[in-house]
Amino acid sequence: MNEENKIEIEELLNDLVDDRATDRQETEFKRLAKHDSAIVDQLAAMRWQKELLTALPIESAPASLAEDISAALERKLILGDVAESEQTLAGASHLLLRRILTTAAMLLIPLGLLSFVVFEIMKPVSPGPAVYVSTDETLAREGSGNLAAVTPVVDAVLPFDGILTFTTDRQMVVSSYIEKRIFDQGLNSFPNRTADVATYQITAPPEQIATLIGSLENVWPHCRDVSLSVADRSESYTTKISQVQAKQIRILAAEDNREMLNHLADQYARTNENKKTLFAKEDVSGLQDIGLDEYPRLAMPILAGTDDSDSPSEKAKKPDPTQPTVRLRIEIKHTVNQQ
Amino acid sequence: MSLDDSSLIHRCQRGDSEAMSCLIVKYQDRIYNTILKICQNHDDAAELTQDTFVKVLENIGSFRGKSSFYTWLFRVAVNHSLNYCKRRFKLSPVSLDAENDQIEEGKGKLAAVLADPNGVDPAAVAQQKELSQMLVNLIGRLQQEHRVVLVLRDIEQMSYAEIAEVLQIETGTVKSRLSRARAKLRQLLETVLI
Repeated sequence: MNEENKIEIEELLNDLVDDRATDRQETEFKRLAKHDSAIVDQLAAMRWQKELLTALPIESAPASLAEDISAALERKLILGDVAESEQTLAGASHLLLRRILTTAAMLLIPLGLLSFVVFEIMKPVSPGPAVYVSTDETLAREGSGNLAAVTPVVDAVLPFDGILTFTTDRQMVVSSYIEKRIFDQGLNSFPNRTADVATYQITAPPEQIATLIGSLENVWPHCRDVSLSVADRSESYTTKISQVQAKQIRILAAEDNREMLNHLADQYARTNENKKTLFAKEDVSGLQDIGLDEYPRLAMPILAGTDDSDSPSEKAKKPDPTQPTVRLRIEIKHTVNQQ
Repeated sequence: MSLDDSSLIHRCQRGDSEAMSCLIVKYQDRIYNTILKICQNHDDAAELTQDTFVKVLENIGSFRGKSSFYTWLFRVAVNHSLNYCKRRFKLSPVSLDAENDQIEEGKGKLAAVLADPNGVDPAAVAQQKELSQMLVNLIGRLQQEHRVVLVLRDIEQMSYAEIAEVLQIETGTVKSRLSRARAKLRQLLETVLI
């Protein structure tokens, strides 16, 4: 009997033991049994073996197994639920926090940049060193590097606005002398010279005007007439004071009340009219002795004043842009024109 | 209380702990007995049985009834046991000397029985503790795939189809494995007589 036949016979006996044999298999077994009686004993042994295994006692599970299973199941379910719920809650809160932070960052960063840009555009310009700009009406300051930011510093402008007219036979000498004094005071005068008339337009605080007038007192004796036309800044000139004195000019320039200014101007005009004799008809040839000859006869360039130790740079005082100013126009006319 | 599997399973799926207990009580001995025959150790069998029920009841919500609960439960138990046996064999191979000592104890009695089996009731033999223990030890000497088929067929008395479903193999494979398992066990029993 070869190995294949042996396996076939085993499977045949197996089916017979399990009552799964077909009719053909049963016929085959009977045929084999006729030739080999040992195969019948083999079938009997297999059936006995099967019954033996089937009859083995069933081992009972430990008594506490059901309880242990229930306890393990509950513990696992509870721990699983708790862990899952904790993980779910922690994960959800973490995710929510991340989303909030991301949203906040997305909103705040552009908003911050926009705010910075707007602030840079809108923030007030810090006041830099003021530059005094002398114009007809205003003082202005010029911010450092910002030429557009020119605003008047002094709103309070004193009411005095006058034209001081010197009538002299030596118009060139007198005008040069006056121009030097204006330069020494550090004033911008906007000079305008013609053959017969020189004019200087000055806008300055009354103190500087007073100092300038004081320095011009030597000129009075060399003039045939010194008159002052006082006007309200908003009106036409109304009052002319003939033979005006330096002291009167200083008082009028310092007056801050318009009505008082007009009143004083009227009073000086009347008083000086009554004192026709104050200015003597002197011979102008004697003017050589009053010190005007120390200045050149021709108009002197403003920056050529080297004959003097008190140079403009040392002597001139910087105008205080916070002070109120007055306006004075000085005219030096030749006597011929006056006549 | 009805012990019908489908109603118990339906109640378990709704979280009925009483139904779970019923399922456990209904099958615990059979599962334990089968696992014990496969793994040959009472403590391991108890632990594996517990793990099997926990695993099944944890996943009872996913049970759709495509196969019977009985075969599903045994499939989980057998797979779990076979995996455990593979791990245990790698970690600590079974001592054949210890088994031989146990076999020697019942060898004489079994030899006497097998000398004239026609005159002895196998059920009576099986009830003798020494003989039954020796027989179980001989089953443990079979190859794993043969042992499982033999246990499911001759001890648990499953049909070929059920064994095929539990082990997820063909019925023909069950037949051949069972034939060889019985032949091998027969050989082992004959060695006892020598």
